[in-house]
Amino acid sequence: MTKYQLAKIIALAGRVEGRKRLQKTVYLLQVAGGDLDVDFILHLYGPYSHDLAYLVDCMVGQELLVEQATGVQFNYRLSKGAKTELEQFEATPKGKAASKKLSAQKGLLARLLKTELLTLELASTVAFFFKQSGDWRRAVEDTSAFKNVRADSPPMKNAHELAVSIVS
Amino acid sequence: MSAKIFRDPLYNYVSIDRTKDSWLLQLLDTPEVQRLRRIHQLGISCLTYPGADHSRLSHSLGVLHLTQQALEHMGTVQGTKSFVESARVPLLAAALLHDVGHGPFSHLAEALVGAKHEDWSCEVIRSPETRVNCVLRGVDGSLPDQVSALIAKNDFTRPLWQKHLLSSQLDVDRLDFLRRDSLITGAGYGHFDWYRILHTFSPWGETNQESDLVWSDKAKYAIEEYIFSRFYMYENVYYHKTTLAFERILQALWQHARGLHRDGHDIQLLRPIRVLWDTKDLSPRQYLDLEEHVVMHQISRWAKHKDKALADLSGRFLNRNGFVCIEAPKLRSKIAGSLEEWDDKLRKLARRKGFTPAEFYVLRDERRITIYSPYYPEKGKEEQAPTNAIRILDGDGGKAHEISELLPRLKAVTKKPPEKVLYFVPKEIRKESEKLRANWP
Repeated sequence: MTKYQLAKIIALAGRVEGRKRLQKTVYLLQVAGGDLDVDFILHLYGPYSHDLAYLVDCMVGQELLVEQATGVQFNYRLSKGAKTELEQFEATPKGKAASKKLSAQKGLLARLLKTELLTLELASTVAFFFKQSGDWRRAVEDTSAFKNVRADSPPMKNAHELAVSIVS
Repeated sequence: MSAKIFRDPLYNYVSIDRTKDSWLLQLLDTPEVQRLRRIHQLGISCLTYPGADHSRLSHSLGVLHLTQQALEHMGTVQGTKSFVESARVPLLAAALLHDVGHGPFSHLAEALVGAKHEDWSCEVIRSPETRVNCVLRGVDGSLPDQVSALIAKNDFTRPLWQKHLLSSQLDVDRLDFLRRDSLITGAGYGHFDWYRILHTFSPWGETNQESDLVWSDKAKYAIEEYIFSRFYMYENVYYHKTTLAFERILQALWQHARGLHRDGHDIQLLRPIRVLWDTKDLSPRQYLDLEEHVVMHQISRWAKHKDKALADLSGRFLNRNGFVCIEAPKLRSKIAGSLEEWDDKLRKLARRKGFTPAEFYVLRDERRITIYSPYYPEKGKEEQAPTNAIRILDGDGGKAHEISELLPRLKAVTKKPPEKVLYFVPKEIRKESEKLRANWP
């Protein structure tokens, strides 16, 4: 994932609340066909990328992202300098093409940002298991066992629906 | 007790109980485990640190020893004694076998073969064609699956504490390799109180399945030492520029040779490499045939090949006639900056000086953050787990805190550094490359 891609996602979002939300959102955008090239592992709380965590912290260090702590949660938005750089880049033909690709996912991004965090965590885990087995029923069962949430519970049903709509 | 004793430079003695664990001795004597004697623990770091000739086998025995100690400790902790019984056999097997899938020059093989060693370890353990699988099945028919579940990255069927004891930010693997690599390279940075670390952890959680690893407050200074040691070892040994340069040279000559082979040129391929390149679904047996001595023999053949670049790169690798490191220039845009133009200029320079194909003479290295890095913890509490954070349990056992929150001085080494891109070019064009870099706008 490039700095531009992360900056653009955060610019489209306006603000991302929480590192967990950011991780799961980027995972689901990638699964939905986003050309993000992020390496995810399965982690206690669903798919997790060391690369993405590193990139976020680097961009905060470079003052491209503004990090705001509320309690134990970290929220992110684009800095003024980053906004200017983004605009300059997107005025170039290369930037226009890159922006077009990511902007196509704007609707999905808005949906993921509004989704309840537990559903997002479960949906990304279901999608992760589905990528391994290619079998939705098994993916739900694996997620249910892994997260200790009943397969027929409302959060799992919502998560399953969300994952199916994204992967399809 | 009748024990088989191994002398070891770190622990003095590593022992296996002949009565209780005769199966471990059988496992040790399998061809797949013995193959680890012929794999350098530190890949090609011996080109930088001449002493670094130790093998994956001595490391694997070290990890086995530490796992034995960790289980003994757990057996003395109230409330977790019962966890040990079902964990012991699969954990000891996984400790000895965790690296059985490593290829020539350890992690370097992952770039050459294009597969992670953990995946191959699991293949070797599960495949009925290996002796390892046969010994494990002799103990218990389900043992191959249990052991492979402990090693596989995305398999959580085994209890979390067992997986994370083997692989996490503070695990028996690192406790062994940091100290072993430090001692044997002579670098001397790997000093920390491993005994305290290994005797102050506990599984934390309601059930065996859900319990995860945390440390008590009295471990925090030993862990602090461990984090500093880890930082120094990465900066001085694992990320040493000379080693990185030779790794890139080996990758370049491998890629070039593969391209020549694909285009139908005769590059005098040895059978295991031909099989590797021409077989779609490699079997564990075929994969294990790829050994360091095969790769070295192949490179010595290539050093006399008529293809100029293949012969030159091979000769440089064999004779340690390396490249030099040039740091990439600063990007004009922090967000969308690209090194394409710089790449292009360097390649033009290489071409002008006769180093062709230039893409094999202008080599780029970008550090990626993986679990094999210095300790860069996840700061979001809601995402912290042993795979991305070392946690200390507070006095009443109610909350776990990531260690750099408790010891803020650790931030000096746990803060993620800005990314750095390095280039390696033949030393014959060092001056011109440096001049190009100095005059870069």
